[in-house]
Amino acid sequence: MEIGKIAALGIIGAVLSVILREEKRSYSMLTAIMTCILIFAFILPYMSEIIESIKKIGGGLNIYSEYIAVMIKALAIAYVSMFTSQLCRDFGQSSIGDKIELGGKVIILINAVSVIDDAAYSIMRFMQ
Amino acid sequence: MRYILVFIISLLICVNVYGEEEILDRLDMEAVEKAVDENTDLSFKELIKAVVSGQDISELIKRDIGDFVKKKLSQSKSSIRNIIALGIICGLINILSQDINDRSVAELINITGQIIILSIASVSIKNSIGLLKDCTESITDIINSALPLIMTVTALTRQGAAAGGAILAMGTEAVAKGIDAVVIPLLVMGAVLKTVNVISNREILDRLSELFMSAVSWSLKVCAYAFVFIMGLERISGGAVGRSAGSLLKSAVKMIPVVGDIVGGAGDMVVTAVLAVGNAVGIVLIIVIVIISSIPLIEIGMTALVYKLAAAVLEPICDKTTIAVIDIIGEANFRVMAALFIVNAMFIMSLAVLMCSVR
Repeated sequence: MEIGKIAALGIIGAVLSVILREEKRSYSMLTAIMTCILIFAFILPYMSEIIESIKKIGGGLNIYSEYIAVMIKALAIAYVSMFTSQLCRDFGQSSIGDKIELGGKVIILINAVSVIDDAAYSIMRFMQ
Repeated sequence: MRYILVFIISLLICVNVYGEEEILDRLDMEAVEKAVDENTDLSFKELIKAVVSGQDISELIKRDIGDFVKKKLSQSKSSIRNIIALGIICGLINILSQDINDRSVAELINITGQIIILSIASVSIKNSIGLLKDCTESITDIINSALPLIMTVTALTRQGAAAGGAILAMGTEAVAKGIDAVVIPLLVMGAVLKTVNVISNREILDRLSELFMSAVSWSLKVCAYAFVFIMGLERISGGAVGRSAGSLLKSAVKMIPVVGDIVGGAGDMVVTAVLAVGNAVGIVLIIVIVIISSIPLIEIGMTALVYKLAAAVLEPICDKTTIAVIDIIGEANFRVMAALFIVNAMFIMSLAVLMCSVR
């Protein structure tokens, strides 16, 4: 079972990180980062499958496929910024974590601006 | 004496008794034919000939409307599929975004999805309102161009000019313009406010949006009551004036010596033929209005049904806000359909009243 592998990887990484914190704090940080990256790489193919399913559902929506792509991109950016900011907070660097989250929000807004612009234009035409 | 009798008989032979075909050819239908031709693919004169001669024209109506319904059904299937697909995608993305710790980011992603649905929906409402305006303009155009013809036919039947008919037509046009100037802007504002209210999740515009939607319902009711009042005036004034003027004319014709009764009788045949044509004119105008109006009604009704059905199907999957947005758009389309239905009913009833004055 895939969840078993992920759980095992997570527990091993957490235990190693705790042990190494006593000896050398920097190695503990690196172990935690590597564990997160490995778990993320492990679940990445499954996330690709979800995105492919979403694309298949929206297969007939030719006009709106770029908008759906924007939403999926925004979701991916949100996840990446969430993971990295949590890692930073785990090591006591909450201010860095906050900045990473802020960066994620700004990039999501920039991507979403094109969608909001088109939608606002449609709504303004509707109001005329 | 013999020569006088021969002279009178030869005069009688020369009196032409017109049938319906001749009456049709002599009536000026150019304006109304042009108006019907611009707005439909029917021939007004051919329809009247068919009605006067008693041909079955139901097949023509069934063919025109039936073809359109089939086409709209297949389009509606793809529309509902698109809305449901978009709703499912927004629902999935909403579920995936629930794990994001920063709620503002999750909300931003959800609002983006709702804005996409709203932009699709605003196009559908704009189309529906466009159909309402086009249909009202087409019908007003046809009625205005047909009014001189109806007055001519009414005058020929010696009922006197049905001035009430002109008042009725003007009143109907005024009510149709009122719907365009008042009801449609109120409907648009109400739908927009309700949608913004739902998306913002704060419900601060709840009462204002309800006020606008109630104003739409009341405006439509006021238009309907105004029309019934005008119809009441027509039945009281126009009909009575027409009947008395007709009797007077008939009596005057019959006073012509020797040939008075015969000319009066020939006149009755003319009146009967004109009555048939007059009623046929009214029937054909009603048929044309039904054909023009039923197509937009079906289109708007199907659009509204698509959105309502999509909201019902997506309720287990999507969040409440997305469902509410889709439902509001369906509701707005239903109100546009109600406005169009009232306008068409008024025009059809006013024509029926005008037809009744042609007796």
